[in-house]
Amino acid sequence: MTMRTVPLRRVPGDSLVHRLWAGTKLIVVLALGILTWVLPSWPALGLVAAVVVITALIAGIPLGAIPRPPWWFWGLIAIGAAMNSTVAGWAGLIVFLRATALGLVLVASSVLVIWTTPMAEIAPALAKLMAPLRRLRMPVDEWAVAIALCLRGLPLLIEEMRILRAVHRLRPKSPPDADHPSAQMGIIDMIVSAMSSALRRSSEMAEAITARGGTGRLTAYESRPGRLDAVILVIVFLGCAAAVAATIVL
Amino acid sequence: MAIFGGVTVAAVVIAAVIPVATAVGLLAPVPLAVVAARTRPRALIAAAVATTGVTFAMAGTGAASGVFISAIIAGIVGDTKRRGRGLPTIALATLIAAPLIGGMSVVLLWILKPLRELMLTAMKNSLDGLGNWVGRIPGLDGTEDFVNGLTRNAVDYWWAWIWISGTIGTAISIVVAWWVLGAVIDRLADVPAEDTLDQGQALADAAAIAPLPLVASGIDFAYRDGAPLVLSGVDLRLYPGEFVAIVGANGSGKSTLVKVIAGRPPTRGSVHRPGLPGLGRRSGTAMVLQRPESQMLGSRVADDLVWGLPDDVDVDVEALLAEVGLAGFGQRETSDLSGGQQQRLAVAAALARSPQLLIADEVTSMVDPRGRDEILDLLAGLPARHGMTVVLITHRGVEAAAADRVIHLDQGRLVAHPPDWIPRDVAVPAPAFDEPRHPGPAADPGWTRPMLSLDRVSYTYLPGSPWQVRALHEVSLQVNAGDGLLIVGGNGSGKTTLAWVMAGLLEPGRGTCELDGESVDKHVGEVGLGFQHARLQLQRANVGDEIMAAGGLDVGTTEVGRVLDLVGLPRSIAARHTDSLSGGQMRRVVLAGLIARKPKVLILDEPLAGLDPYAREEIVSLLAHLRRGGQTIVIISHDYDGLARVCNRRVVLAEGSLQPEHGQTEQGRTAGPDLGGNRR
Repeated sequence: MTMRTVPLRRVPGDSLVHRLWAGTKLIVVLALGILTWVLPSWPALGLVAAVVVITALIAGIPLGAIPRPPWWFWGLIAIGAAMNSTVAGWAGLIVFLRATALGLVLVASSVLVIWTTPMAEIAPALAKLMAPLRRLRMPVDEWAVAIALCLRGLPLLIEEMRILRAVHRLRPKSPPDADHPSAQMGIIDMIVSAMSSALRRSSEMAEAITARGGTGRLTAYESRPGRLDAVILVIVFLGCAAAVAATIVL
Repeated sequence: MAIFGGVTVAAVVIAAVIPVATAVGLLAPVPLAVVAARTRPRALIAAAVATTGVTFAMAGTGAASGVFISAIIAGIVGDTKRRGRGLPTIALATLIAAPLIGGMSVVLLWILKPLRELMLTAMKNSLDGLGNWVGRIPGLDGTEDFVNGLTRNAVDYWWAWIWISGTIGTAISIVVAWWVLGAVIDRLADVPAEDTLDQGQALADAAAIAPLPLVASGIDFAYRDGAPLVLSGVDLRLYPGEFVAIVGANGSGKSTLVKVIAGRPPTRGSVHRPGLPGLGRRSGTAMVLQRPESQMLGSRVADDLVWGLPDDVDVDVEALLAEVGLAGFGQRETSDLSGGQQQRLAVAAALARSPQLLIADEVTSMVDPRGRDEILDLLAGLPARHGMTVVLITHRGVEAAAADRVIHLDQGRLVAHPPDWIPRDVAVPAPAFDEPRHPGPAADPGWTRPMLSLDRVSYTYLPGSPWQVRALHEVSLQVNAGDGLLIVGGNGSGKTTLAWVMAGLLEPGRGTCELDGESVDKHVGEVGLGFQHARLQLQRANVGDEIMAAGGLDVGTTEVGRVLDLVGLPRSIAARHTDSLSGGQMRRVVLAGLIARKPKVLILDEPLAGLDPYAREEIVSLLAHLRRGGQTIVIISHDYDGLARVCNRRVVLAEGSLQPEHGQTEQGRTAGPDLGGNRR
């Protein structure tokens, strides 16, 4: 595949950020997300960008990890910027850039979580964050298992998608008006193949689970929030408050 | 127990959402709709929560809310389908749900005033700018005023615009999901989704578990009432501390026998144990299954080892990993392990439950020879070290050699003597097609024409990033017309990447790969590639269409019949549904499709994995036959037993580099010239 994708895998390393509890990072992402939704102002965006850059620096994310989007990505942004500035001038350009930056920094903050957290810790962390729902008699443990298996299945499925696309490319192309199976549209066929393969895979996994006597523990090493996590959360919330204050004052 | 089956269906299927969702947003509800249509609402809810949660962790709040809405749509569509309702119901549901879902964004934007203002300003400026540009085109002068009026209207009545567009958008996705689901669900009906290990037994308390000694007599087994007997009249005894091998061909019923030993009640006959089998429980029965990657449930090695253990059980992770030869691997990702390592990890996970009975069901069939030996050594040592009974299921006679006792199974019955193909390579039944002794293409002067030439090909995944993996390094190789080339390499040697490069699916990072003098990535499809995963390669609803679609425009029913004969399948199979085929049949259909395409070079990735000696022999004969007909074949495998009949050359790939070429494997029986010295 020539396309450069963002690998949703941990960047090797051991830093302050890597050692944080996964739940803390998810809370931060959620808080920043809500902040920018409620208040998409420059101070708020600045805060998110600052958190992203500082986190990346502490975690020691190498420059090579940053995805290089295709040229048309920048092209679209440039066209959008030009369009906005013809009528509304500088003000229009700045509004447009604010809207674009809003999307980009939020995605960046999520990607940073994935890059600094072992996949295995995400499911237990989400389970712990959902724990209050247990009082509403919701099957939180079952959901945690589902999330863990979903994350586990993801690399297998991405690989299957890759094969599916390769199979499609290898097939002969016939003119669409030919009355022959090779000329028919393949999207439904591809969905059926993917679903069939996923269903087979899931019954195999279900048997593997049964063979282990059902579900239970998800991870070998328990990770729980520590003092560091509390400190980080307090800092981020103070930052959010400051951004809100700055927006009101400015 | 069954709920977890449902949940797993959910979890794995929905994981598909993420790559699909980014590509085709409209199709995002489909996988979840399949879940909703096949299982109970509870599994759908779990699936929806898991997808939303995972999407949130992967792509943030915005994407998560999008997936959440997809899940609602999937629920509506799937549940309607599951209840067997038709178009009127879904139309009614659309009328109610679409305005509500469309209204959700209105309410959200109504609350989030600054976000709304930002969005509307940006939209207004963009549209005005566009109007201004278009207005400058002569003859379109009026456009600017029209666009300005429109945007002003959209900004003033934003709620109406967003509500209407949201409603229409939702309605469209419901209709699309309904249509796709309708097309997909019936074709998926043949996919087995039964947990064949599920015994429906209540959770036993530890005291009642005692699987051994086991005395089974007169066992008959059929999967359904009236279905043919898979086992008939089997008697079996298992005592503590034994190493027993059960040997039989594919379809001899050995996997079914294992399920009975593991606790599934037989259709007729009796099974006596002192207590319950306790599958997966402490001091009970443990199983290691065939497919390595589907058994890995945890993300990291240590997680997988403890996966599913009760919370109060502590195990010595390091000691167990050391016992299976994986000391220090605890933090590695399970997906990075080789097949052999994954199987040994599965054994460790079984040992974590200190079972009295360990069943290994064809654990070596997907593993390279070195991994196979390591697993066998490990299993053979367990009875002495832990006093447990090990039951090894295999179709390889050699693997049974270390066992205290060998049980032979043939067509569901016990047989006293090994069938005559054991140890192997003796008295193989005649292949389904005749094998005329061609004079051999060696007589053809054009024989040594190079077909595919690779010149110092290197390939690195994600170069320059922290995840970069060097898969191929300076590989130079030439495949001549009529060659049979065997590329041998273990797991992780880069052999699959090499196959993709040779088929033109990957462009080499450095170096060139040319087919008939032109870069092969400009001619994708002329080199046929058979993947190890057969199901993904079959895309049509039935076998006949599949072969025609894979073969191209000039393949008609006659040709379908011919290639089916060639791969040893009955012509009547052409009308069968793809998903009703067995694994071995699927593989032959893939091969038939590839042959029908008449590729210049045919590349096969692990064509023999998991086949029993009969099936292997048939496939090998078929490939040898094809090659005698002049087909150029490249086989990529870790398993080279018997392939000497197909291949005249063998190269070894290790860590992405070609090792010096091994001696010729040509045995003089088959035609083919001696072509040495292709290394530059």
